Amino acid sequence: MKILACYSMKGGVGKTATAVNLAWFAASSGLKTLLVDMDPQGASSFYFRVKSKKKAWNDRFFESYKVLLEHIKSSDYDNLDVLPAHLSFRHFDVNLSNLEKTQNRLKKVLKGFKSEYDLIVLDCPPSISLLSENVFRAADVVLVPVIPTTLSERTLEQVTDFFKDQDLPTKNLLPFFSMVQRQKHMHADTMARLQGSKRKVLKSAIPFSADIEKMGEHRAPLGEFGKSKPAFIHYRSLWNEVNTALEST
Amino acid sequence: MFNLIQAARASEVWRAPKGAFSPILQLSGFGRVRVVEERQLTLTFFDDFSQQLCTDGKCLVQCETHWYLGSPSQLHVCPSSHEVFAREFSSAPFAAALFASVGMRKLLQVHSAEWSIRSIEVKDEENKTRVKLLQFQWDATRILFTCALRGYEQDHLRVCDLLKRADCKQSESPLLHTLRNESGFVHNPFPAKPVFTVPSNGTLGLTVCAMAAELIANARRCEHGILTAPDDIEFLHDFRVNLRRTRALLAVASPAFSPNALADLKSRLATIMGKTGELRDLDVFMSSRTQLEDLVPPTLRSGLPAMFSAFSHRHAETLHNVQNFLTSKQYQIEIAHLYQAFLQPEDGLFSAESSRPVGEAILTRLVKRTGKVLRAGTVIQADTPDEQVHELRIECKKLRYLLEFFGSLLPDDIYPTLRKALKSLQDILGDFNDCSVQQASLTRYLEDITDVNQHQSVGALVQALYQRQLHYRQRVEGGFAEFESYRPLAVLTGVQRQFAKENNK
Repeated sequence: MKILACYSMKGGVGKTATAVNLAWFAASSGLKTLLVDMDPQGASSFYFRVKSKKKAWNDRFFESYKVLLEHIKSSDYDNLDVLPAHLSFRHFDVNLSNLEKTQNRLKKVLKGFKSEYDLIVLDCPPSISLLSENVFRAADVVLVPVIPTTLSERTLEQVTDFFKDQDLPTKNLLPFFSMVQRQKHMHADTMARLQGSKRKVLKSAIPFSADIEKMGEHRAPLGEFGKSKPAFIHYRSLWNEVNTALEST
Repeated sequence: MFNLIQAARASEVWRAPKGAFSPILQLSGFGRVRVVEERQLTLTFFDDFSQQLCTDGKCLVQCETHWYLGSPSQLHVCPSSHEVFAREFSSAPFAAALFASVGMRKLLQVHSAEWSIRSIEVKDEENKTRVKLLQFQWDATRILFTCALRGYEQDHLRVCDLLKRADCKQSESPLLHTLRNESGFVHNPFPAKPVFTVPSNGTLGLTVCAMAAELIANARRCEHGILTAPDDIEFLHDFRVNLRRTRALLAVASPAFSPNALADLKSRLATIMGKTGELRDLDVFMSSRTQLEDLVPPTLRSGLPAMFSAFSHRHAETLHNVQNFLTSKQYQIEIAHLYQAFLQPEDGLFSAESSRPVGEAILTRLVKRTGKVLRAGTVIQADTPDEQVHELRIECKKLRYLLEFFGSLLPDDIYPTLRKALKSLQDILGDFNDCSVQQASLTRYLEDITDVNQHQSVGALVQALYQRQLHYRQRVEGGFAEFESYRPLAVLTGVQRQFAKENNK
């Protein structure tokens, strides 16, 4: 079983769209996939039309995988299940700080799914916190969407520094360009600069696209309504790169 | 998308009432019902000739690109190519599960049906699928499979409740079994060795004739397999076993027949058996090729391919001759005559003994035959000549036939024990005999061979078979002692006395 985290400390960079589409590609390729929506906004859950139970259960999330099992729901697609978000997930940091071995709780709890799933995709909330550290320690690959702008570039630097400070393996960090508008000079320059640097950035880049925004309207991954769209093809290419990276871990 | 693997692992299978039943109408009270796919699907069912899979509660289906082997507790799936024997399947667990039932037998198509399939989804107000259903329709038969989705188990229960209220009946069989049984499949097993229930107060002659007719009919069911699927060597084996059993039946009940009629029937049977004996020996020899090769040291194997090639040619010729014989007019007349003679026995067939009650006559024979086996076995020691071991084997065989034919006359607790005791001894004697037959056949083969390599290899094989035969020979005494320890004569004499007592009342 592999764990893929879609993470950025910055909001609105395309984490959820990436998590939803990559989970769909993984499931379509035959991998038993679980998407864990950790963001209390619950956007992934919304895309898959999956609702959480009403009662808050954030304080039991890191207890054991058996607790998580009670909350998992089938999506409408073969091989793809979703653990929907709950608004109470906003208290995860507090919950974690009350536990022992606070940095590895997520890794431990997800290990229980080893025989059930081939891939777990984590859709993470935008922050850098104790929860994020748990994500970094649990994930085999941390996929970071980066809008080719100065601010996004800066947040990537901050995450990288955090990895170094905490002695986490920076090779697990896989940035890729997201919401790219090549006609903008800043995007083109930032991409050229980063691709020319020592930093490893994935070749696949996801364009800014109305079709991706339409996922909210259709409440479905791109593969269910826009197989002929360029955005779908870009996500497929991204999945191929990510899958290769996962296989090599 | 429709997925037969998921469907075959279905949580619930339902039989809908025939008529105007529509799941869409039934479920519309629950949520929005959407048909997402409609298609035709041909399911082709396979089994071996004896339909052992079906007897064992298994179901083998080929559908599109895959094989599915379902049992009530498990489903195995394997990509399909052109497999006809269990050993040819690419998935080891699949092959093992199949082999456990069919062994070396060839897979034959036993049934096929084209089903119309509808994939149905029941959605909630947010258009989220809560329950998935598949409807299989064949003729007026509708089978519904419902699948509980993770996290929506309550919705599944509600749908099941709706179906119950619409008079749908839950199937006790898994989906594949239900689809087979509901599309006109008839389980018609072939009992290689039919089990007879003998009426103890029937007459010896008529009882034996009815049994013989069944055995001949059973042998005839194998003819088509010998002609069309000779690579399944069990067809010829079962054919011969049924004829041999007919002959044995005549032998054990010989006093019931007039001497002339008996000689005639035996001679007709012997002719047919004689025409097929060599092919059976070659079948056994060729199918044990790997084991036989393993008996010869690697350095002496260079002559074996030529030998097996020669036997393979001989096998092809013999098979051709047997197939010609079975399609000949001569055979058709002979076998029809035999069948008719037993089915509608004429007056000249029987002797005065034939009107004896079968129970009394057979129990007397059983006691006598057991005594013969014990006498033949008692003399066996380490230095007893092989001929006497063969004699014991033949006596045991006759006793086994008697027990198998008329076991129903014995009390329930006695027959299985005696049969088991005799089987252990017979297995040893059978292996001993196989080694002997193969040595004789190889020695005959060498008489016409001048090639030194072949002489070396075949010589080594004969030597290995001889060693094997010695090994089985050493076990004969132990096997006999075990059989004797069941005190078969005392047991059968007791049964005979009891029988006489009850019938004299």
